[in-house]
Amino acid sequence: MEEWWSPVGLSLRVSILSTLLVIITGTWAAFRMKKTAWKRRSWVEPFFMLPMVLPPTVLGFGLVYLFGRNGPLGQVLGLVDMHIYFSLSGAVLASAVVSFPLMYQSAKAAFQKVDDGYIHAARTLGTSEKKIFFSVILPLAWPGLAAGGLLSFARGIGEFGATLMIAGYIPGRTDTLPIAIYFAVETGEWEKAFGWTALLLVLGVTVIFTLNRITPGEGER
Amino acid sequence: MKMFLLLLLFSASLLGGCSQSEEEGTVIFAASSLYETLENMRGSIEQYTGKAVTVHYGSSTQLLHQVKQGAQFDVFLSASPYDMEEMTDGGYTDASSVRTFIKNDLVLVTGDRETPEHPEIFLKQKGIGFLALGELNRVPLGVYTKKYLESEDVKTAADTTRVYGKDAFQVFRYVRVKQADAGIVYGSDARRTSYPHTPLESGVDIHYQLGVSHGAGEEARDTADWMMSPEAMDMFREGGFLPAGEEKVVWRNGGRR
Repeated sequence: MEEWWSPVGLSLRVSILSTLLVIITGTWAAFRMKKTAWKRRSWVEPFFMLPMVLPPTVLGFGLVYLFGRNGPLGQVLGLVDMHIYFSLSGAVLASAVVSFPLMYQSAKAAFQKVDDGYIHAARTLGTSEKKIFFSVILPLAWPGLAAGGLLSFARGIGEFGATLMIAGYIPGRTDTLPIAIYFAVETGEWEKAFGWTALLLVLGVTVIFTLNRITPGEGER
Repeated sequence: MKMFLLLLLFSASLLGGCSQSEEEGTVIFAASSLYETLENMRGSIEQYTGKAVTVHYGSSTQLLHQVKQGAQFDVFLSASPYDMEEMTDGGYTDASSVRTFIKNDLVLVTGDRETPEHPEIFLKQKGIGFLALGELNRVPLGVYTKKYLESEDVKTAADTTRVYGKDAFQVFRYVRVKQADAGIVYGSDARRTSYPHTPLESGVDIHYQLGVSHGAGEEARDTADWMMSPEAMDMFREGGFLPAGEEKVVWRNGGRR
């Protein structure tokens, strides 16, 4: 039974960590871009959105190239005895890369919805930019940011291709749910695969249900 | 609405076109370790049978599951007699067509370090790091590897991390790109790429078998016959395999660094 729950625990760890990572980086990037001139933004944004349009295998190849043992970043990390390949950190990184565009896009939309009038009013009262961000912008943008976080979590938990390439299949260490399902199907252990699939389905429905609750459409409140 | 229906019809016609082209010619399901050799052979097979050839690659077990789920094939090339047995028992291949056509062996390959002279001692020692293997329970390379590890009573050290690949191709890739420190792969892969290796005196026979599906056309039987021809055997030899009738694997012991 412990063998059955191990991929579940690993997947939750990977997704929670990658979601935290993209909430911070995605929110920061979206906020920075909001203040950036359109011309410059139009050059930078495609790179932020790239993981959404590239196949996971291309992302996996990129990660292996950069963070593999002989990759430029892999060698730098090796100097401090750290490695991303064949480790849970690799799985977290892969999940974060694929889910970043979802968080970025949600955060961007959330910040666009914040009425600039409130920000200007706060400024005229002498409030610092830091306080404006945490006390005015974040509370107003939170439903969009929470939706981005949830979507990133759901995308992260389903990540397979790039994860298998950089983190590999090490039972008990890097076999997240999608990888465990893949090997279970390939090796004929369909009962296990059905159980894990059912769990992911329940999780997916829960995420979408929650998403609809926190970001209702027009007339749905 | 009209536009929507037109789009739907257009998509359906494209899908129809796809399936039609897939059904033409001979469909071969082959173990991934045969990839490069079969790609070199494709032209010769097409010339011999006069039909186009489509090859699907995967681990033999993966392909077996696809067949069980209804995938259509004409010729099945398996890296493991166990999978072929299951194919025959399940009525997917004609038992009278099943033949062993080539053999293979297991070798130890390493990433950065020198290939060891005594692999059974090397595998037990500490400090290996990541050891790439085929998934031990069903992927043929892994099943053979498991047999070897058990027959030699090899228990890897606690600090050795086993990384499992979904097929032979992936295991070899892990070592070639030096993501893994060492790995147990098919000798054919190492020989074909002139990659330094040490043969494992495993006593594990690796027989590749071919079988033709029930009800397959004449061209499928011609393909199977061609696979046994001297021309095909020369190409398999170039690919690092040993024709089934021969006793010793070519280049054996010849690849150590």
